[in-house]
Amino acid sequence: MDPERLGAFHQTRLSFVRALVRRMAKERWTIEREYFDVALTNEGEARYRIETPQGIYTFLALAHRINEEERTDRAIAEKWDYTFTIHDGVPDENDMARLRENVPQQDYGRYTSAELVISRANKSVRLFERVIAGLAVGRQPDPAWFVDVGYLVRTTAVFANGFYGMADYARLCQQGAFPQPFAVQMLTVYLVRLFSLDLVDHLASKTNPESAVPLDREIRRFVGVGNATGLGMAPFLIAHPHVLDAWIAAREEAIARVLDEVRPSAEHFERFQAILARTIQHVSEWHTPDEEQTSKNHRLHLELSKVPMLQLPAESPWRYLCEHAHRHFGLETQELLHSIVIELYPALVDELECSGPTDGTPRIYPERLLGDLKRQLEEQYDWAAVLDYDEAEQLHFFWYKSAMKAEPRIGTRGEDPGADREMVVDMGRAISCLYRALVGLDAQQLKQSIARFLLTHPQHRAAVARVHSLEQWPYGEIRANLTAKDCVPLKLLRCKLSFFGTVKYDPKSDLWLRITLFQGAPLPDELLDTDFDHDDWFAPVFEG
Amino acid sequence: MRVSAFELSTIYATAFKMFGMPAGMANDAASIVAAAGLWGLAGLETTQRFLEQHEGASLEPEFVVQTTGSTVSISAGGASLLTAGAAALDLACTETDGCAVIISDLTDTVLAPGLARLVRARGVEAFIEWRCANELHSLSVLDEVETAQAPVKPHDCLLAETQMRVNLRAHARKARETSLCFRNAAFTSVNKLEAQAIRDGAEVESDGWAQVVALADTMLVPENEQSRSGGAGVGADGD
Repeated sequence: MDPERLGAFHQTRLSFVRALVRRMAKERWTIEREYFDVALTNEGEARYRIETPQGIYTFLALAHRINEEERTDRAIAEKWDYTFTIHDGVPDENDMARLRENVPQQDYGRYTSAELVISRANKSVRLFERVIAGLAVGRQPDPAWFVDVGYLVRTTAVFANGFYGMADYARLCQQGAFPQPFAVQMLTVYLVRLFSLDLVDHLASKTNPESAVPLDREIRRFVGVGNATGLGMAPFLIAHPHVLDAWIAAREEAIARVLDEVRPSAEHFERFQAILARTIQHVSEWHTPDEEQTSKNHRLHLELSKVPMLQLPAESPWRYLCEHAHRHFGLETQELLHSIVIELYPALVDELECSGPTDGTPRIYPERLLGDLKRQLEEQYDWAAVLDYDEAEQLHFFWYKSAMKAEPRIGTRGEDPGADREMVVDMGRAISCLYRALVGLDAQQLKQSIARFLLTHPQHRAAVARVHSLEQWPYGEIRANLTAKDCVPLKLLRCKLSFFGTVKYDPKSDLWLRITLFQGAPLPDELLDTDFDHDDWFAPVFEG
Repeated sequence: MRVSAFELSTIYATAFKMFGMPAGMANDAASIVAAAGLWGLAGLETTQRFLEQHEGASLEPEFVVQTTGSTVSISAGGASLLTAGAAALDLACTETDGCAVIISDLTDTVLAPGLARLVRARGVEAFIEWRCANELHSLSVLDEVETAQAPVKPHDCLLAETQMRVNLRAHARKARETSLCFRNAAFTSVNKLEAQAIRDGAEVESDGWAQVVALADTMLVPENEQSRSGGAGVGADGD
């Protein structure tokens, strides 16, 4: 998979936030606020009960008073405005005492397998107090405020899947409530959103009980949750090729199915026009200070605006549209059009959403011969073979974890310390080294088994396992050198985020960006309303 | 204390890499030890002993392989199953045509059940016998992983004290019946042990685990003011 295209992906209806909301509505999950006790000093706690067919869960939100200078998006932060956890079942008093002690410490705390998630969030300084001040005097915020900043709070990490003693992903799958990838993390973010909406109402009411009003429903729905996304997502994709393969395979299959639709109905065309119009408006509302992204957005808006003027044929119109886009439009537009056409066919594609764990068992076939391995590298890893890893530019960067809270960082080789402890992200280099070892062998030596070769060359075991494993995960390999001088990690972050279902990408550097999740998503009571369309929030715009 | 399966596999893998194992060897060793940990076997203690005994030593096993008829004998030269297990398994998959491989002069055989994880990655089935503390143990990796309750009844090809025997049935590749050395009716599925550990966390001894974590943490790079700029979140506008 080419990083340029991966970095142009957009959310689709298969994204995890969409899949979660569909499931919550279908299974009629209820979310009930048990208590909300947060003071104007921003200290206190709130608790919510979530009932699903698979069990009951408790979401605990803790509010903390911090100084302005302590507020940061960085992983190395040690204080946050709010910290959260989801506990399996109803915590007793001992659990609550333990959670009140540990959850504020986040990654410095210790948890049990009954805790599924920990997370933390900070206020959006731009909006938070402004919204409360208005509500306190009976004034609704201007929806335009949320066009630029689509959230009241911004998460800076969501940990699950066995971190710090919490429940393993296998446990979540065993129970049945959260077998989909990142489902429990997405639920956490959904609940953080709910908490933030309840919080501004609560604090406005505490500020001025006589005149305060709650946030208008249409505005509530338009508020999402922000997130600051850092480098850790990129090594995740490298280390989990089976996961990346599953996500992309589902997406590619969805696109293929839709493009194969020969004669869409009039309703499909109408829906396409409606979603396209909304998407054009959504893109016009996508503001970022980043010049490169702004330029891309301008081009995206311009190209999308040309689509209504295209004469789409009655037969195979979506294939025509996407092929036209590949010839005439940029990557962002191509990929957003893929997302739009997928949106039209829930019956065709929703079954493709990742419904459970993928088998990540690595493979190795020691009985194969070295000659077969050499040929395989020449056919499938030519992209790595052409890179000259003796060139300084190919090894310009190295990835490592800082002693400060294991924050993933990038260093410059030869300038920054830590290259001797670099993380393994450059699979291309390992495979290139393997290939060089094979190139030096004669015909007789190439008839040797891989098992015999690895006896005397154990340093190549990981590369061999990678090559053999990726046979079953054809979309799993990112064909790029992450240590090269021209590497832009942002593209990989954007790829993963698109599968989460994020919008409003706001790059802050090559290393991180801010995004918004769940903007436009149904509110908890709307999930139970059978007259409410739970699934029509692609490319959200304010509809008030 | 209790730890998650994720912590077992990732922290062991990092610790072994920092100890000097190449990445592939470290990953396989971590799979073995993590499996042992989930199944309530002596994973941590054996790891601690391994780390003490191999401090500063070469971790590359020096195998001597002899083939006599249909039997392949491997002398591991005193290597640990952690460093030699995967390579020995590779040979067993490759050269024995489904017949037994006898591995001698191998230490840390108490971790032999962890090989079940590596067997799966090779797409084969296996029957593994090993001797530990003068008792003969066995494990089969078929659809499930099952251990026999030790001691099992010895058969006519008695294993020497440090011998581990790997009998592979390569059903994925050949339709060939290979008789088991013996079969003990009292097999217990380790899958149930693993499910329980997944549900409740795996129990580890705190001080020993702290040593492993400390070794893994040597991969963390001390920071300075300049290195802070290499992380995400730098330049935030304070929003």
